[in-house]
Amino acid sequence: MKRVGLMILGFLWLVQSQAQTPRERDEKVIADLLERLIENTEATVDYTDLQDQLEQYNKSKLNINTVSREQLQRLFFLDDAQINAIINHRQKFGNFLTLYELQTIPALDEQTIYYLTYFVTVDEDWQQDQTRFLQMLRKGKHELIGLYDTELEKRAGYDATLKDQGKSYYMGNKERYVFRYRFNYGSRLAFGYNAETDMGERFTWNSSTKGFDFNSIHFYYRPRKGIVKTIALGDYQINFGQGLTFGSGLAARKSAFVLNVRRSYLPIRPYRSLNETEFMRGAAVMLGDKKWQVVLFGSRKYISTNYNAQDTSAPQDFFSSIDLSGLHRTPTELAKSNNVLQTIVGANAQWRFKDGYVGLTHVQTNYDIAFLSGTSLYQRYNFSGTQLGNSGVDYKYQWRNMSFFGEFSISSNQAKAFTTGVAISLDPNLDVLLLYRNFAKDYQTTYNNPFSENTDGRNEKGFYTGASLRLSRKWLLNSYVDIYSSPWLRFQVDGPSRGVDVLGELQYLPSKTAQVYFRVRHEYKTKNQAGSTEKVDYLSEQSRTVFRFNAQYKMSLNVTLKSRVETTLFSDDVSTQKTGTLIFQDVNWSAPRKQFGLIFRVAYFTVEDYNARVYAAENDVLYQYSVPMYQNSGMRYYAVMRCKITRKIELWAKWSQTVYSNVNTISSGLEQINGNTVSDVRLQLRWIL
Amino acid sequence: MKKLFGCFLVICSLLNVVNAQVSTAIIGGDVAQLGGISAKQQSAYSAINNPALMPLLAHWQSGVYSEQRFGLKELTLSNISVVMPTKSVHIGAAINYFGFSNYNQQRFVLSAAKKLSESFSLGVQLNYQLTNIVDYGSAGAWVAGAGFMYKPTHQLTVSGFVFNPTQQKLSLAVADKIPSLFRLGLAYQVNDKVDVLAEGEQQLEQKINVRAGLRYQVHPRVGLGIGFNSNPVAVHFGTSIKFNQVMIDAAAGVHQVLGVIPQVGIRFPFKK
Repeated sequence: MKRVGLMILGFLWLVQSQAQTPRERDEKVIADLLERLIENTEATVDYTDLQDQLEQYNKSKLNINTVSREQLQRLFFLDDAQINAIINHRQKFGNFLTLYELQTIPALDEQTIYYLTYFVTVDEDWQQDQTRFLQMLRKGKHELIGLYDTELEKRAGYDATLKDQGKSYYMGNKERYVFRYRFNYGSRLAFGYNAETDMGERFTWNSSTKGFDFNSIHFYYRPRKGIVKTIALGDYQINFGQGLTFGSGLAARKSAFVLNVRRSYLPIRPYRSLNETEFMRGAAVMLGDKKWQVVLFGSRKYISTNYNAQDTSAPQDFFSSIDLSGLHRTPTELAKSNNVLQTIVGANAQWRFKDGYVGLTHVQTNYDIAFLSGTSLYQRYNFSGTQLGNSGVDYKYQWRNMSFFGEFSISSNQAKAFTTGVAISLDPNLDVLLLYRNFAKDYQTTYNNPFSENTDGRNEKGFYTGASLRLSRKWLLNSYVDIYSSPWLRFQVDGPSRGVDVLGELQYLPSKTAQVYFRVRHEYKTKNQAGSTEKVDYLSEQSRTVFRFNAQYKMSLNVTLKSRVETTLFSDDVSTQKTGTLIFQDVNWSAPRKQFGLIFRVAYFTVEDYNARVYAAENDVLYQYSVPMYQNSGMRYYAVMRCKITRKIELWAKWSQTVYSNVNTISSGLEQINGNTVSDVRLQLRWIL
Repeated sequence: MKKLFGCFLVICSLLNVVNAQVSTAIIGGDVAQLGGISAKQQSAYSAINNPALMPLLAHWQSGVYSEQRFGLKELTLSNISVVMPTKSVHIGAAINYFGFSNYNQQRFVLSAAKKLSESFSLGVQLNYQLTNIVDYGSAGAWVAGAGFMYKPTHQLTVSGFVFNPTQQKLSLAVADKIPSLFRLGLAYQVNDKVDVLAEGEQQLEQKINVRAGLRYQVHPRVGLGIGFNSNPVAVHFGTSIKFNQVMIDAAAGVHQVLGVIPQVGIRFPFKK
């Protein structure tokens, strides 16, 4: 009876979200989760890849009555106590009759249940789907998206006289174009085409550029039966184990999801992002059965490097750095584009047993021109040569309330790296995760994304502890401590270095419509002292503390308010403490019938120094994510409009402007703007066929 | 003489680097594994760490503890403690010895605690602090300490301890300071097996040291602990294993630069 009563309450609780269409709700939940995942990130990169992972999980909803622990771990917002509670509930009471029954599980709070309903189902999931290929082609959805993006102010690189003066200049105009075509049938069949021309790049058709500067095609198919489980052609992503031996694409880093450091990804995913470097191009296939799984892949693509031709100082052609920016705006940047052929082949085999699995991976990378590392001391152990091999063993094992995971890798120079950890569900209200990693200073890879402080996955030792404590249904305490060191030098770190990163977040959910959290993040690390006039750089202890208060309140079905105050304090051994402060207010309004929506933000910021900079994630047009950096002093405003023109056509527009009060020029070099204002306009149209 | 003085300077500088005054060091393998959080210490070492916690013990208990900082035998700290419950108060005593023949510090402790209600207790402590340096002589001083423990709910324990509030000093020309500190801790019992703890310790003229830790009773006879210190930055972990009535504690602290501190202890309960 209690079960039935709670189901009715659950139904009423979910009613408020029914005003939106399923597609809109899916997109909103994915955007919410992504924002939470990247809001702690302090970098401006393309997050479409992370968004794509979430979308993939959303499209291939898991049957909650058959889902495995491993599959639930991919939903990073679930902790181990919640996963245990779901599985225990299923074992104790039998299959879930409806998703509303999730509310009978005390370990699941309202927000988690809300998210979970978008990724699980009680109906047949895609694995039971028997639709044939041609039927899928008929039933699937086609989507066309066009994006136009421009800045209203002119940057120095667009000055037409630069070319005549023989100086570097931007060859294209100050407009960015994106075109996307997507076909999807759930998660079983997807194909599409994505293209982009960045601001300053030429949109032209000649021997070197074919229309857009970046073009990407993908095809992804999961057959309904047989030994072949997945086929990917064109551009795709590969992730194995903990991402130490091989992992392309973005992986979540330290965030407010403090337990989300264990990697748990689909081995093959279609690539639909616009990042121009972090993907594979070729073919991949996954074969398997209940007990085993084998992934084979091959990739062959041209990458952009600082290619140097053979001359008197160099006995052979070589390159010493790979351009990860994907920007080809100037003649110099264009000359560096797609000039070295990179070939990667690899295989992963996985044996599954009752409570875990063991996997083996080998990946071989080949360049047609030799990579020669720089001669700086910090580059001493970098890869040099034309061939690089990586092998690894990874595992996961569940024992009682403990989930063990890890990976050991070795590169072809015999350098070793390993990462291992355990997630322990100590109580339905307390989860703890411990992770130790030790990557040798000379460990070398081409693509990897293990959990680490630094992005290169080498020259690092560290111990991470994350804990999530639900004090009650309304109060949640999240925290992590990460203590790390680098035994060898790094860029701008001329000595063995160390650091500590601590986060504490107290979340309060006073009602279904309000959320408040207070967060403190403190990091200290040793780096070269900036601005030193000594002949030899020396390391100093630099500490950065960020205080954030964030409140979100849904005033009505149509209006949501969000407020934030954030202060950063930075200090080092020499200079006085520097402060950076950001205050913003968001208003999110949707018309009653959801045909039209508006989001406004007004932000005030005053930042004394680059080291005290502040980041804040912004709303954007669909499939675009931005986390701008706030520096200097001033105001930033933006407005995002969404308008459903017809049932199948939607329009987004975003206008943003930053007005600085203490500078007269913005940025430098070709990016310089003479003035104190920078404004951006984006228009995006989507047509669902 | 030069060698001796050099040795003395090395010890002083090491202690300075790790901001760990031996005279106020947290004692006990049971809390060493938590990074030294004594907020809810239920062992004989509470006689020295915070006497107000002694009423948590229902029976007599004694403990022997030793740690060797960074593997240097000259930096060995040893302790013996005992707590004796009586009808009206709990009485405790402890002795610390740190150093080696040419340089050593000793601390003699006498403590008493009174349980004023089911949820509140107070404790006081009288210490005699003695430092010996060959060729410089010996010097001692009487130092007071006091603490409290409050349990606002069954799950929550709050405790505090103040040491040397009168800022007593030794009369030696060198190393004359006896630290004055205040410690405030919080322990939250998540369930019968799990405690989450945090503690802040402020010494005069030093940066605050924040500690956080977690204890997990993985088996009725086996407990695991992990803890962190902010100043200096260190990770601590360890285990407590029960053999009959004897508890054996083994822990290690890992300092980012200086290395490992092994910590061991044995506790003997005496039930009537």
